[in-house]
Amino acid sequence: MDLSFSEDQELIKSSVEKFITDNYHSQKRRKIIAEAKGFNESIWKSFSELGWLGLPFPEELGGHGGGLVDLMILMKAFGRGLVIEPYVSTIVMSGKLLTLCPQGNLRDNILSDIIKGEKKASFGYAEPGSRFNSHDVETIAKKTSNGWEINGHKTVVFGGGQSDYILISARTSGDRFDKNGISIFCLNANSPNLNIQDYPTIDGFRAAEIRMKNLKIDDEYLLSEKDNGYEIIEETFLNTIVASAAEASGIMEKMYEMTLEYISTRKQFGVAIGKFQAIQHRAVEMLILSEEMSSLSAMSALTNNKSLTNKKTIYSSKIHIGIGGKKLGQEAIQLHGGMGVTEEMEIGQYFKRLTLLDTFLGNSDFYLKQYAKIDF
Amino acid sequence: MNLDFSNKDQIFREEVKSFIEDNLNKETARRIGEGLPVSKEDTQEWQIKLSNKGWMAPNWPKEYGGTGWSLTQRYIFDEECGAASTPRTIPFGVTMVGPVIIKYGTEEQKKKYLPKILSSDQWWCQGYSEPGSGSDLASLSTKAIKDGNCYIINGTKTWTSLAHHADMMFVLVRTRSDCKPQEGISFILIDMKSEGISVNPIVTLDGSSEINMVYLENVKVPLENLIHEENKGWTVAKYLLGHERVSIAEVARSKKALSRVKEIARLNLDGGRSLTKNDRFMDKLIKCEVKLQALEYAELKVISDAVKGNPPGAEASILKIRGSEIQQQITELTLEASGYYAYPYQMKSMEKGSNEPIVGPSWGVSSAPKYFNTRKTTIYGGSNEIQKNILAKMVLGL
Repeated sequence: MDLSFSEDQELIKSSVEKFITDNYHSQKRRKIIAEAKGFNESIWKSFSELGWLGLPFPEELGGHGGGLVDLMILMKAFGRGLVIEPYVSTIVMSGKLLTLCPQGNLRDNILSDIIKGEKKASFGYAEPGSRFNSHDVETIAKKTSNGWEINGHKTVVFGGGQSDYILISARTSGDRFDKNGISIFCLNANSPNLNIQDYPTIDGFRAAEIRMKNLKIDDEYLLSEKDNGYEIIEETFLNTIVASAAEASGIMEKMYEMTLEYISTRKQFGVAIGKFQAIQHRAVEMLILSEEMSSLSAMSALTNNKSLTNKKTIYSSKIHIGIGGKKLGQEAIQLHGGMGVTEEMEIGQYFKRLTLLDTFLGNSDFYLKQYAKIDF
Repeated sequence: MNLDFSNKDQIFREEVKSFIEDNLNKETARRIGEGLPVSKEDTQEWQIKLSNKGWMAPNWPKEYGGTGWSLTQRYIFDEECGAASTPRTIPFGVTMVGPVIIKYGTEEQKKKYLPKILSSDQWWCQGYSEPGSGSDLASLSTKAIKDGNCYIINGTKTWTSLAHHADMMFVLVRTRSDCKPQEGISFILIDMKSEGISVNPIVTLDGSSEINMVYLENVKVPLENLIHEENKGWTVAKYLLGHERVSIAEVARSKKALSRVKEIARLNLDGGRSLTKNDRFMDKLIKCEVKLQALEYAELKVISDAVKGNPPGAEASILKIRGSEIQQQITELTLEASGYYAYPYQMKSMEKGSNEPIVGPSWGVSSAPKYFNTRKTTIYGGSNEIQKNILAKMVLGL
């Protein structure tokens, strides 16, 4: 057993931390959020040059063969820096989904374009009625003579309006909730009969409503085997949760540090408020919650580094984002007093992202239920 | 002991209900029910209706234009307003500075200010907190220096709700420094149109800007705007805070908000099923309602005791603590119920008369902004930490 990072991993860590210190301060982020696309081309180019766009992909697909631990290191730093570029939607989620789909010209080209930083992709799984059940699919793909015709609505598709390719789940057979009969398709963002309603999300990212009305595509745009897409989606979710937990861990660590700084300098009644025991104990509790997130994040990355086999560690990290993250976030705001509820203070920006990370891919209630199903 | 309202009270309740039914703007009520922002005009419309009916000031004695209602009637009125989602009466005039002027004001001050609060012609704001003085309010440093027949005031006030709409502000200022901090504070009224005042909005986490920084630079205020005696402002402030704390429990509004969460829970949101089938969600909802029931009883007890001549003491802090926590829990439940629809940032579509297309169900639009905005309830009105200090000292005797 050795829980320290390898030399390569230390290198990733220092390069991403340096990048954020040098190029991604809060003013810059706020400027990027205000831009029409909600991301910055030159930052994306830097991601590519630094090798992060290819990080989690196998070498045979043009990637750098990084494992989940490498991804965790990167994502934790992204969390600390509150990076709002569409890395999770394009690289972590769509990238994994494509990697798991069978080899084919279209898939290989998209992957190669993504890794080179030339194209972006997003994955639409949620629907207006599905809540967190990814097998609740009412979007229908009907076979035509030389392809498919798709009708449906994918909701809150992260990075949807920023993408060149939109990957979606659609039903090719079975009933609404059947796990069998779900397939994965690829849509060109500029397809006719595809309506993309892009909007900012409250945590500084972007998402879109994707509506398909009699949308016709060729056969090759079916990326998964027909009817067999659900397992791919499930595995993509697990992989994304590991990245998401690392991001949450970075956010929580940073929020704890900012709060400690605040209570050490904010004076009332003639002393720093951090001198009051009632405040001290709450700050210590925040430290513990942050450490727990870090542990669960590392545990889920490590035990699943080679293949996604241990759902329990992954679910644990997701559950703690919701329960521990909510507690830590609320305390961070409370201990900042009035300053905590202002848009100007950075703590609130982190709070918003952390709050919504609970919802991402299903909230803690949802995963408590999934966890219980494993052993009982 | 019984919880029943008297016949007379029942009749009063019907009268309130029918007044609301006849006078409340339905669109305004809908927006409030859905957690959407209300404009100054919406609030003013309601306040003028109350004013015309003579119901603007339930908490004032009759001789000053108050309603002369019993405490029970006031409770019923608040309950019905909450249930019907009326705009809130702006508290800074009628709930805060009004009672202060009635208790400490001169005849002239009463004549000058009280009628305009009653008619809603003058809106007030509260200049208490400063960037360096929040929980430790007595350390405030905004200075008032006597100069002929005026005070010259310099300093910065913060978290000033609705300063941008206000005609008048009541402030705490320092008039003496060579004594205990509490003994050198005065309570002064300032015309917001005075030269030297600038109001800068503070944007909150939800993207709205209800609160402000108010900069006072050599603002001249006539000496007659002093309330009570010079350096006795702390006594006045404590009297006012007592009023604020009791009204902050918000039981009626929370009951209404929780019933809305229940309606949402009954919709088929969870993969063809309703959230009422989700035990984890329902546990949280019911735990919140349990707390709310306890709070409701506690509030009724305060009223019942007060009717018997025992006004609330430091125990009122309990109402503030739990009331504010419950308000937050309710927004948390709505946020959870919204699922992915907590994400879209739809500030524009929340505005009145907006034609922006909405993403997701209409009740979800305000769910995340409300959750973020409501973090303030445990911070304002004397933070919950300060309330706990008060309880530890005054009730526990520690």
